[in-house]
Amino acid sequence: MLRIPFLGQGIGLRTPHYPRFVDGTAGGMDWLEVISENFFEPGGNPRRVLRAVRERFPVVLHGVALSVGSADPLNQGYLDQLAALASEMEPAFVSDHLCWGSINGRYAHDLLPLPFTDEALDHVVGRVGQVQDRLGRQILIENVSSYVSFAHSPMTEWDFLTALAERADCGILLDVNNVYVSAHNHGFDARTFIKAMPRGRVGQIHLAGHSRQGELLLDTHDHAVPDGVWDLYRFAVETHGEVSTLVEWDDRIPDLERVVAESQRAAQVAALVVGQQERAGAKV
Amino acid sequence: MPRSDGPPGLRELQERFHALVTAPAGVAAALPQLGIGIAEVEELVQGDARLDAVGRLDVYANMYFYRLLDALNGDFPKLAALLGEDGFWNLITDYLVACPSENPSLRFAGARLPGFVAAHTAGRARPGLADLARLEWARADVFDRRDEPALAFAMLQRLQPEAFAALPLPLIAAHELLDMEHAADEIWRRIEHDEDSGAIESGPRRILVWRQDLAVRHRALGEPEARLLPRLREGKTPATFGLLCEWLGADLPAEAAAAVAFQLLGAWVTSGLIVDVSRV
Repeated sequence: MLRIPFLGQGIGLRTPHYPRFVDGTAGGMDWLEVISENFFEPGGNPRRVLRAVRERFPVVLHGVALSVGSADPLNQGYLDQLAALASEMEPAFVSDHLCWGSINGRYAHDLLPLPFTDEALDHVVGRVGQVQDRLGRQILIENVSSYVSFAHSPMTEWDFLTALAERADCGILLDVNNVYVSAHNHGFDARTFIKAMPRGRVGQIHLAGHSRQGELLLDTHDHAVPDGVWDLYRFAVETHGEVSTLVEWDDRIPDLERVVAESQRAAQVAALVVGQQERAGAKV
Repeated sequence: MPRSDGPPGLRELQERFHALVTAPAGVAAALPQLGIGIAEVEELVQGDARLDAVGRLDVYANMYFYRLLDALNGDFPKLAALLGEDGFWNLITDYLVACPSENPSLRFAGARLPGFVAAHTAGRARPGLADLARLEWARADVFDRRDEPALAFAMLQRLQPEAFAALPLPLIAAHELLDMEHAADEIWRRIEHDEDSGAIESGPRRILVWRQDLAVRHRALGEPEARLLPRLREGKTPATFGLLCEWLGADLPAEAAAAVAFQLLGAWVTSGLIVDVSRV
């Protein structure tokens, strides 16, 4: 059984906002997500800021380099560092991506797509299990934005992710912007993806902005959340209920208040949807 | 890259994909070098009317290069400034081919760049470039090493005079000592202050790089500090202030040696270089 605390609305902790957390003037968010790898090293400013944040807010560890889909063995040194950080910070969630980023010990520092095959599914199920055993807790796995699909990929992404979550008994970090971007890039229906996610396994939602490059959308996290993603978020809340939601803003980062306002909009949207559902339920 | 019958397994698919998206001149240019035809790419990856398979892979190829270029620019800003946009671009293109990242964290992507610069045509053509890269990497490297309580003057003031000889002098972990052939610290300073970086004096020097609280600093060491600071790092147990006086006493009368030892101790405490073992 997956334990899913509801944290409210959060933002990603980013370098330009560090001083606001150190001087204690940051507020308006319920929780913060940090990129795990940025805090693996033991000293200096990053750890100091993270400790200051942790004193005031729940924290979620979000990794980008677990490379859970790689054909290489899991990097045990990486897992040791992640386990140590999780032990110190006691995060509400630990998450990473349904992707691979390294092969033959070489890292692309990217979230590269997997083929949705039985072989890949068996492989990732086993590896998520290894990670959960090492950390002593369940993790959330996030769908990524992608720009290619593989010629031999007999499953849909949503069937693959659903099967992974159920077989590995892990949670899902549903990135609504990534669903939007990939749906555009590959021509599938974004609502079908969201509707297919298993009930009770969506532990967290990500929202973000994206950019257009030619005919494709790129997951750039350098804009406010666009209208199309807000519409999809409404649908996600209608489908899965109120879920801890985070706004990611990683490039051309505005001041903290702007990012917080975007995350508060997520709370308002979710409250509106839930209120409508409750009123509709009361009428029945 | 041999073709096999049927769709590639997971490892083979990832090896092909990685080779294509990390190629230095883009996917199309890499195909003949990797012995892969367009038909094979299309058997691997689906394109459509909006963008073909090679174009879609190129999205990843561009992101790979620019992500690493940005990260390395962040760790080596003075090297990038000295080489200019094109020069730095070319250096990093060559570097990523020779030294692909082998650590999950981008923080370590530049670990081998100083050694690479020394052997690269850009480094051979410009004395001091490799030393500048070493200095910048050391600055990046001490940035997040472990925190330790630094010895403060207040603690020294509480120390009885007879206790000074036994005072341990362990150096903080967040430091590096660099032996250089060129005045990389001067090159660094001139770029920092927008001064002309030409005609830099040459000559070997030892540079200390360290983090004091949250600020990363460096300075060239003179004698006897350049000779003695490395000795503090020798041995399984930290050297003591008494031992420092003994080392100085090899060349100076005892009273003068003690005076120099106190001067050095004062400088090191001011810089936050000595761990306060009573607070560890």
